[in-house]
Amino acid sequence: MRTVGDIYPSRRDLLKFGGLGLAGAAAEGIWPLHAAASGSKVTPRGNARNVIFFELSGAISHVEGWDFKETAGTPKDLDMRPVARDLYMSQLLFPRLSKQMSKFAIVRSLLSHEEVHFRGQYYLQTGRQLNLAFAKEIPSVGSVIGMELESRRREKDTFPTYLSLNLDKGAAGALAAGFLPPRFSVVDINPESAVKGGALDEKAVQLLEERWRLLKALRDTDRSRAPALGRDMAGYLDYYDTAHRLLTDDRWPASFRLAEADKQRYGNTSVGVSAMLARNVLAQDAGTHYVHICHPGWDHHVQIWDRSAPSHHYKLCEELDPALSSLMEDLASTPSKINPTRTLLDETLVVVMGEFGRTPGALNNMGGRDHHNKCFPALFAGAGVAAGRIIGRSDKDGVTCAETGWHRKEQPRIENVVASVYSALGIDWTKEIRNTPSGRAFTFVDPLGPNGYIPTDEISALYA
Amino acid sequence: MHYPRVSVFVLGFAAVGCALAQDQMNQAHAPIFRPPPSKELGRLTDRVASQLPPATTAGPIARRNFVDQHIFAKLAAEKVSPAPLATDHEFVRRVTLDLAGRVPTPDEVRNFAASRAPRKRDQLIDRLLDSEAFVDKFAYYFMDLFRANGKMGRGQELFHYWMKENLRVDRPYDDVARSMIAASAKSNHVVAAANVIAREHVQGKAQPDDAEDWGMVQQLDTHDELNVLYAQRFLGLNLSCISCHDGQAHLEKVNTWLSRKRRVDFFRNSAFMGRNRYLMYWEDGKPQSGEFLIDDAGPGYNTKGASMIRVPRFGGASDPAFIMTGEKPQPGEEPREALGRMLTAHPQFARATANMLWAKLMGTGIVEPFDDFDLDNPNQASHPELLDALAADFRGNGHSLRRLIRTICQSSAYQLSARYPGEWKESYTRLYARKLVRQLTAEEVHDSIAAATTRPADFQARGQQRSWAMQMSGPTGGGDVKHFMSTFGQSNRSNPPKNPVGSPLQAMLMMQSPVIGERVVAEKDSRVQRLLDAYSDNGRVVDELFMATLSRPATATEKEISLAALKPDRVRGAQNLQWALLNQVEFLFNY
Repeated sequence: MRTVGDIYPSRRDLLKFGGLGLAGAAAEGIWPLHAAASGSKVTPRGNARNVIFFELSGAISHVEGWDFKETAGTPKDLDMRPVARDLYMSQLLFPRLSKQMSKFAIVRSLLSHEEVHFRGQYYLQTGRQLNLAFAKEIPSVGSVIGMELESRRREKDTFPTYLSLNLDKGAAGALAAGFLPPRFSVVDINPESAVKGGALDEKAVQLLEERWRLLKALRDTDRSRAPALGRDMAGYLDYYDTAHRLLTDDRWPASFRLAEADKQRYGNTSVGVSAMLARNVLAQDAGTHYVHICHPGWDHHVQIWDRSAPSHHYKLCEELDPALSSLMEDLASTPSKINPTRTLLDETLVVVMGEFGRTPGALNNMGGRDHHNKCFPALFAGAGVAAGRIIGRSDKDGVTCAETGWHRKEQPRIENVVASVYSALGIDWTKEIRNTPSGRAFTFVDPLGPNGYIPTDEISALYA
Repeated sequence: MHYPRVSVFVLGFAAVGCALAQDQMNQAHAPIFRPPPSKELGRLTDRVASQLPPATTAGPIARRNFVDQHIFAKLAAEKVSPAPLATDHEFVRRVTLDLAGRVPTPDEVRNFAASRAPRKRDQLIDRLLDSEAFVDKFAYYFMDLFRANGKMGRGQELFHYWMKENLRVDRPYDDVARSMIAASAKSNHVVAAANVIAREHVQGKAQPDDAEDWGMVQQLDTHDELNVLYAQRFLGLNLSCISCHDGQAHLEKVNTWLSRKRRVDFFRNSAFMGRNRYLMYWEDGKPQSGEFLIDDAGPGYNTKGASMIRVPRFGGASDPAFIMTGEKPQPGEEPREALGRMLTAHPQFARATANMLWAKLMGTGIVEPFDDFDLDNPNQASHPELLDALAADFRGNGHSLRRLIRTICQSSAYQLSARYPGEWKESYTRLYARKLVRQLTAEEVHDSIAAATTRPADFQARGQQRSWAMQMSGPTGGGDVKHFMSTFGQSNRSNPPKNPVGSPLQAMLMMQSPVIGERVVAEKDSRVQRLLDAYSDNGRVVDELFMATLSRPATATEKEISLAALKPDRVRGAQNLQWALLNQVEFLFNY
């Protein structure tokens, strides 16, 4: 049984953390969470310092993506070419990503137990199926990571551990801190607003400092004023300190300053800006380690190949191709801050996937593709992932799984993707917290779901 | 004010519930508050005391109504002394935020503080309850509770209008609930009450065969969703667990009452909706999402139907039986009307409603979480007799929401100070030994900034200009405003609303968002500009900025510091001062 001290840093530790000081800890409530290893022995890899979870929300059609199948619904203009063994990529949709595919391993045999967007996205971001009775207390993967990595924070770390980009336009909404203290909540950034307001110029910083001095002077006339009114108000003082530290830490505004050339390369779209911000934030190495990027809009039930429709597959690929390709290029060419012989990509696990796939074969009667969860692919890169490897195989139409491609005969599921994320960051994903508000044990990755027992292994086939 | 109880009027709205998840967690796992060491505390207290405005609340605390009998009797029994009463400045700010959703104007604060009327607090409560701002604020609250959004199509605006009407005339809440439950409509764009059903519909087939294809709405799942909704909002019960499995061997530690309920009990309660039919409109060869026909021509509840969101059902045709009593509809009675009748006649309806509004105004429910009663747990309620008394008063007085709110606000328990002299223990929270503070909602933050700076928003609703976020039928605005509001926890109406929780990002926006920055600038009709124009004396400018922003006078030291800030450049200084006052933590809270 682990003790509280294992999960929560001492009060002295809290004082030194950039994130939040003592008052925040007291204010948010450190109740003794009891976490324990569940008995099953796993060895987390700890091969990554960061994870980028690139969510193609709404579910990208996989049979025109990383698991190409020529069917009655395939348009003629895709210009499919082989780019590696067993990998065809459309030169129309993915001219640049085709060149980055050598950095990725592809898992082609994934199974999701969900077939509805919100539930599917929730599944991805919490590692478990939605259970309405307990949803309120379930923390997202990012919040658990925030808790687990807190003890690794250094004094100079000012950035939040868990950052989400472009969430407000997606339907995810699954990024709650649940029963964990609010300081592990996601800091979700709207890329457009952030770029506009994030980069304070010198004059703005001067004005902020002038005003901050006045604010502090007024606060100092009675430091007990807010704390005397309860722990929520006491905690807010720490939020202000964190915010002020970020706003005046050059690295934060620097992360939001975008070069014109980068905008050209990434595309000046929400997802393009999000990818640039993810790169910038991680390159600063200032405390952020889990970045969730949301690229929404892939839910093409209607007119998926109709360029006159408000949204269609071509348009979304035009946004995704430059954003993801440039991100991969830059991660691979940015040296690591802690080990100059390595690149940022070497220490960052990148996962790219939708919440499920789309119906393969002929289009539906509205010219679109519907939801398909039985077998769909995901991309993994960085942090020692065996680049170029293809794991698992779908049947000839991309409908069912023909070969799981890993050490089990069951298809890998969302739980296994999430276990791989935890493992990469060195987190024991079988850990349990027992004294939750409901009294039901919370396992980081739960072997028991509504669909029965699920093996919670990481996808070790990703690695050499 | 009496509203005729004419049920032909298909008005109705409803209410409540919703899971203040974070809040519940905080309550359930409240930490031990660590006060500074006692010596330090003594010094702090002395310093604070020396700077506070003179107390106007000395003397014993009056028992002002039956609420106080219960609250203070329990405090006495537990040998815990209550905080003193809030000052007039604190009270006028608190009650204006709670009932009107924004900070009071400087004149409102000053006049109230100066008034010598013996019943001035009661009079202020009554004035606020009669205001349009009260209607706006509580309409927004109920819109959040029922997650009124685009799934209602154009019905959302109609539903908003109708909510406001209900509140304006203080329509009996049981009548509101019944009309929601039993609403039928050729279109929810015409019949306001039907929009709750429209909102809860579960989307079915993506490609219906034709206009008559019921599969566009998943009928059986929609019955179940409505069952869960009505139980949670009107009875404070969370039936979602037993919507998939029996309570036994699952819920013993969670909810004793529910652990004794079976999934078939849930089916039978859903069966009241069994003949309810939801047909999506069809035009131009396509389903028109957001517009529905809702009638009672369905086939009855049969578990053999398919489901998209629940584990497979079992059994077969189910007959309606009310989960609280087992009662069945009378011969010839429409099942949905029967459910409305039984549900609103059951004492739990009044208890759940009273507890919900108590939780909203007092910061924590007598039963907590406020919408998750365990009817077989005698220790769940902190003040069971008080809850029964509030419920009886509500029921005995035409289920008047306004009376219920007035009763709570008039009590000394509501009017206690949020400052506690002496050592605060977390166990005092549920004794209500002091007023519990709450963070303002996104709409309240926005509207209070607008009020403090006299720079209201320019929202558009049905072609008309609206000044306040609270006047809108839902989240609105774009760009900076939208980002600001969502960061402060504005409900997107997809998930149940949550109590606001602070974050560094909020603090960041308070410091640098144009939502604040542009409003404190000395230009046009901003408060800063008006004050600079009106007064050559910087002292007056400082006084007014404190009163307008924090609803209290500056202490002597605060005034000194503020005057120094205005001295080198009064324009820049006044802008900076209002910025700093908006960024005082107290601005973001109701205390």
